[in-house]
Amino acid sequence: MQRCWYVAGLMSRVRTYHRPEHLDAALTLLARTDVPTRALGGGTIVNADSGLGSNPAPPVDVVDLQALGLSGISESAGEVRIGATATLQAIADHACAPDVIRTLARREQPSTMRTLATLGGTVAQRDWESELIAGLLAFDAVVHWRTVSTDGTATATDALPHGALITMVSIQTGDAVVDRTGRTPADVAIVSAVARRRVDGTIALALSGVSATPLLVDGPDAAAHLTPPGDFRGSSDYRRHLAQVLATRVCEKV
Amino acid sequence: MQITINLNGTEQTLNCEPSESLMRVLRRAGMVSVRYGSDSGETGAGVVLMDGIPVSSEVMLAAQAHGHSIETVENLNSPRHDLHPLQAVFAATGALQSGYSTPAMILATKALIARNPNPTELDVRDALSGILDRETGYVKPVEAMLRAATLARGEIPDPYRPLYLTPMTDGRNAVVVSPDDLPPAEPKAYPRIVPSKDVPITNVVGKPEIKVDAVKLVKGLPAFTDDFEYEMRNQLICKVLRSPHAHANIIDIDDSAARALPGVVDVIHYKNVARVRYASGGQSWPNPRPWDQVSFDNKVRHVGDRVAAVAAETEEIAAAALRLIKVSYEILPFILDERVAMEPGAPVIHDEDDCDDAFDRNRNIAVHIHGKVGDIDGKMAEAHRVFDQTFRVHQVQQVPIENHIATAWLDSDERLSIRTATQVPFHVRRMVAPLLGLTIRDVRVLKPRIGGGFGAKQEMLIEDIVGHLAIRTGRPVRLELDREEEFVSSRTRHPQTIRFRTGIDHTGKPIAMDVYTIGNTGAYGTHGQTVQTVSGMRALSSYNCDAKQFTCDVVYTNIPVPGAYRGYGAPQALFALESHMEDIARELGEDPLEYKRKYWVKAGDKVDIAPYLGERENPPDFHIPEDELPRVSTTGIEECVAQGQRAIGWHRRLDPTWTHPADQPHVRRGLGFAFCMHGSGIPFLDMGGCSIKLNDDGSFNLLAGAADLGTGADTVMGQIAAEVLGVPLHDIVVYSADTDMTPFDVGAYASSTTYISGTAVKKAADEVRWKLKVRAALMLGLDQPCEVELRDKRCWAPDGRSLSLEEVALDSLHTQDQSQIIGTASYWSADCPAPFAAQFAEIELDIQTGQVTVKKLVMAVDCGVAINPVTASGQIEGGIIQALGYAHCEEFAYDDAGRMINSQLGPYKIYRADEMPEIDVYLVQTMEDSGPFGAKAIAEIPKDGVAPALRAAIVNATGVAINEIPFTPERVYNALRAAGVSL
Repeated sequence: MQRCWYVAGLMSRVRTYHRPEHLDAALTLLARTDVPTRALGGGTIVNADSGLGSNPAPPVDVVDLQALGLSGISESAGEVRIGATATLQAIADHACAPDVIRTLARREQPSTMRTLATLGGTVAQRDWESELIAGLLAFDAVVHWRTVSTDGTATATDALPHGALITMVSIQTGDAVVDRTGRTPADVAIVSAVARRRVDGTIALALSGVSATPLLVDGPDAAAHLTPPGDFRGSSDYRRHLAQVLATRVCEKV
Repeated sequence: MQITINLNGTEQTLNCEPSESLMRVLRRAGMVSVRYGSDSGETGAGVVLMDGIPVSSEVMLAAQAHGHSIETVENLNSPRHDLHPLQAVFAATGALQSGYSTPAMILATKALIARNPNPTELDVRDALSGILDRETGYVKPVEAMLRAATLARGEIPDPYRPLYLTPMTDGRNAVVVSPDDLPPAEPKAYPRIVPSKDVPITNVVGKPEIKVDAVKLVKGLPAFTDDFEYEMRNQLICKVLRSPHAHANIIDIDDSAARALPGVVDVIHYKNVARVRYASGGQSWPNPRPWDQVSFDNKVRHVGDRVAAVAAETEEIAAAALRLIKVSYEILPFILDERVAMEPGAPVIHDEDDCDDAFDRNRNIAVHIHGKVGDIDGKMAEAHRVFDQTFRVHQVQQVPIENHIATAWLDSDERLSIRTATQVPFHVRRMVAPLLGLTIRDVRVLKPRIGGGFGAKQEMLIEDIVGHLAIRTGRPVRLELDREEEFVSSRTRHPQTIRFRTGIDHTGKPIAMDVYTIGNTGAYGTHGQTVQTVSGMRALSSYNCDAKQFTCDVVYTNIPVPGAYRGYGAPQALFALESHMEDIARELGEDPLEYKRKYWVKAGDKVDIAPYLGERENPPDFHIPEDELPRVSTTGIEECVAQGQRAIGWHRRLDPTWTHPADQPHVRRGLGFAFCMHGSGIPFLDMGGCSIKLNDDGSFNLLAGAADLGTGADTVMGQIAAEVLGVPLHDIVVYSADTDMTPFDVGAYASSTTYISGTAVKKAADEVRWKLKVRAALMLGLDQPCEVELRDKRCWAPDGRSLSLEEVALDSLHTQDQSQIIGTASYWSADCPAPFAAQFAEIELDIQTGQVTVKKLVMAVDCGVAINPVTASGQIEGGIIQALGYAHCEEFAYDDAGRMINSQLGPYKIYRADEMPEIDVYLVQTMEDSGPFGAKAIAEIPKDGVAPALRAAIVNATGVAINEIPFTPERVYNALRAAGVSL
C-alpha cells in the first residue's frame, strides 16, 4: 500500500479551472458524469505531479472550493465544528480545537504545505497512514457532506458518493493520547495510535498504518488480529506488532 | 486563461494555462527567486507569501492565486548592494550555502515574525519545516531567523562571531575529560574554533567574511541555470522518455506520431544519434574504464534509463509527444543485488560488442581492483585471533534541491554554449564534444551558481542531450529533470557488501587487515572504479597495521546508476571499518575509543596503502620505497576527541541510570564514537588554475576554474587572494568556472577545492604581489622590490612612504612602460594531507518498537586552518545532515519489477528542520604547511562518521550490533528481538 504521493501523474493536466462562489454551483459541477471533475482544496494532493511521462492522468476539470466560505472553526456544546476548507495550519493554530487534533494537524504536513492543505481534502484522501484521520476517528468525528441532490454524514474514513463534497467535520472536545513510530520524529508514522476516553468512560482507540484506511479498534487485544498491508517501511507483521505496543501504551495512559 | 494578482504590491494580469503552477507563472513574470525543487512542493524552494502566508507555489495552480496578494523576495530588494534587514541577517550569519532556497527561508521568516514577534526555536524550526535544505543542517538558518525576530522587536542581538576556545590538550596527547567540564553555552551556530599556536595571524584568512555571492543569493537575483532561461528567445523545451523496465532490449522505436504533433521540433533516440562510447563520470582524462555508455542505446538497463528525447515548443507539448513515441521492448531478467550479480546464470547487463574495457562482462564485473602492502597471508596466518565480519551499505541519493538542469544554444559564432548545473565544467566540455561531433574549441560550458551537487553533478549527465538537440534544431534547448527523474536517472551512492577480516597479535594489535568488497555500480560503470578504490584506501588508512589488502569486484546490476556522492566511497568503508574496530575492542574487553586510539595513525605514521590504490592503475611491479611513502603530516585528533567528549557528555555512557531511565522502561540511551580520516584532493591528479589581474582602481579580478557548488569556494579563494594582496575581500571580484574565460580546473570534488584550487589562487596572488612590488619599487625609487610591503590596499616603502594600489594600477595601465599586472598559476599536489575528526552521537532507542531517535551529533574536525570559519562550519553542519540520513532513514526501495517506489521526498525522507538533533561542531586548528595558509580539506569528512557512531550508540544502549544501514525501526527491532532484548 502506498501513500497518495507515491503515484506518478496524479493530475498533471487541468483542462478547466472553476472557482464557484456558491456551494450549489460547486455541487453541480462535481455531479457531472461526462466531465472528469475533482474538488480542489489547497492543491497539495490534486496538483501534485511526478513522473516519467509514462502514466499520465487524464485531463480533468477542477473545482476550487476557496470561495465557498467553508473554512470556519467554532465550538459549541462540547463539539468543535471545522469547515472543510479550513487549512491544517488554521486547525493547528485554533484554540478551539483539541490539543491532540492541533498537534496532528501540524504533523500531517510541513509548514508550507499545511497552509494550503485542507481538512476536507485530507479526509477525502483517506490516506491509510494519516495520523490526523486516526485522531479524528478517536474524537468520533462526523463528516458532513452534500451532493447536488442530498446530504448526509459519515465517519472520517467512509467512502462518499459520487459528487459528494465534504462541508464540515465535527468532533468531540477533550483530551487524548498519541503514540507513534516513524523513521524520524517528523516522518509519517509507520503506525500511530490515538486513544481518547469518552464521556461514558469507554475508550476510543484509533490506529493508522494498519489497514486500507485508519480505523477504530476495540482495544489493544484487537490489534493482534489485524492483517496490515506492508511496505518498505514496515512489513505486515511489524505493523501488527507496533499496533499492539502502541495501542497498549495509549490505552494505559489515557 | 488570465489571472489577476497583486504581485509585490502591483496589480498584474498574467496569462497562464489552467494546469500551470504558480511557480512557473511567477518565474515567467521575472520572479526568479521562486525556484523549482519538485512538483509535489515538499522542497519549499518555491515558497511565496500569499496574503502574507507562506505557501509552496510549486504545488499550487496559478489560477488558485487569482485575486490574492503574492509576495516574493524581490519585494524586499533595494537598489544595488543595500539589503533588507532580513536579507542582511541571513548573509551575516552564513545562513546560506548554495542559497537556492534562501529566498524561501527569508519569506518564511517574514511571515513568522509577522505572526509571532517572539518566536521560540521550536517555532522557528516549525516555520522552516516546509523548506528542505541539504546544505546547512538548518543550524545557521535557525539562528538567522531568531536574530531577525530580535531585530524586528527593536532589540540588538549579540554580535554573530566565531568563538575561540581554550585548547583542552597539548595538541598531541589525550586528556581525561571531567564530567564537570562543560562546553560553551553560546548558540551552536557560532563557529567554535580551537586555535593552534602554530597558526600565524592573518587579516582576511580565518575571518568570518560574508560570502562573495551573498547579495545575489539573499536577493534572489538571477544566479542559477534556470534563472537565465527567460533570456533565451525561441527556446525549446526538452523532455526525456525513460525506460519503464529494469532491463530490456529496444526492438524498435516509432517516433512518427510524436513528430507529427504540432509544436514538436525534434525527436532523438538510438536510430538517429551517433553511437559514440563514453563514460559519464566527470573525471580527468582519460576517463577510467569501462566506457559503457552511448547517448541513446537500443537497450535499457534500469528503470529511468534514457530511451528518447523530444524538443518542443512547450513543456506540455513535449510531454504529450513522449506519450506518442511507440517503443517495442524485449523485456529481460534483471538483478538489483550486487551479491548475485556474478553468479552463474545471472543476466548479462552489458552484452553489447562495443562495451569498452569492462573487466568481465559475462560475469557483470565492470572493474576488478586489488592493492596490498605487506605479507597479508603470512600475517593473517600468524595472527593470534582473526575477526571476520560482513557489512552491507545501501543506495541513497544526493538530493540537491536544484535538480539537474542544462540549457544549450549556438552562439553568434555558431559555437555551442551550455549553461549547466555542473561541478565539472571543464570535464563536461571535453567529454561532450566527441559525442556531438565537435571539437573542444567549439564548446563553451558555463557554470552559474549551483543549488547543491554533492557529487550528483560530477557527471556529464544531460549536457549531451541538449547539445544534440541544439545543434540539430539550431535553437536553444532547455532540459530540467523533475524530482523523480533526479532519483532514477541521476546518480546515487554505491551500495556495497564489505567483508572485513582482521588478524590481531596477542596484545590486540592489528597485524593484518583484509577487505573484500562487492561494489554495486548499477547499470553503468561511470565512477565505479574510482569510488570503490577510495573505499579501499579509506578502509585501510586509519589504523596502523603490518599488512593490508583490498580486493574489490565492481559489478553491474539494474539499479539506477551510482556515481560520485560526497565522501566518495569513504562513508561505506568507514561504517564497516569503525564498526569492525568497535566490535574487536568489545570482544577484547577494551573500551572501543581507547582501543582505537592505540592504533589510529598519528603524525609521522605512513599511509602506506594510498599509492597502491590510486585512481590510475599501477604497473604490476609497482613498489614505493618505505621512505617515499606518504605520511600523516598533521593531526589534531586528540583535541577533537577531547572537545567532542566534553560536548557529548561522554561519561554518561557508563551510567546505568542514564542509559536505562527508570521512568521509561522501554527506553534505552546510548553514546557512540567514530574516528574519521579523509583526504585533501587526489594527489598527482587534481589540478586547479587561477588568474588574477589588477584593475585601474586597485581592485582585482580573480578568474578561477574551480566550481563553487554552494560550498563557499569562491569566497575562500577570494579570501586567500585578499590576504596575499593586502586588500579586503571586497576588492576581489571572483568569477569562476567558465571554460572560455577561466583557467582549467578539474572541478569541485574529492575535497580538493580549498587545498588544490586555493593553492593555485595563492600562487597566482603571489605572482601579482611580486609584480606590484616591482612596479611600486620603481615608482618609489627603491632598489629592491622585496623592500615593498603590501597592506591596507597600499604599497609601503621601509621609510613610511606609500602608494595606493590605485596609483600603482594607473601607472601600470596608463602612464609609463605600460603593462597589465596579472598573475596566472596552477597547482597540483603530490601530497594529500588528511583532515581528521571525532564524531560522537547520542541516541534514544525504543526497545519495543526499534525506533531510534537521534538526540545529538557532535563533530570536532581538524581541517587545518579554516579559511572561513562560517562557511567551514556550515560545510560540516550540511554534511552531517546528509550523513544522518544515510545512517538513519534514507534508502531506495524497489518493487518486484525493479521500479523505485519512493522516488519523492516524502517517502524517501530527508531530515527537516523541526526534527533535527542538536548539532555541535568544532573546528580544531592545525597548521598544514603544504596547504594555503595552513588549510586542509573539510567538505567530505562530515559524511564519514555518523553511521558508525550511531551504530556504536545502539550497541552502548542495548548491546546489539547491527551490520547494515539504515537503522530503520523494523531493522533495529528485528535485531533486538533476535538478540533477546525486551522489557
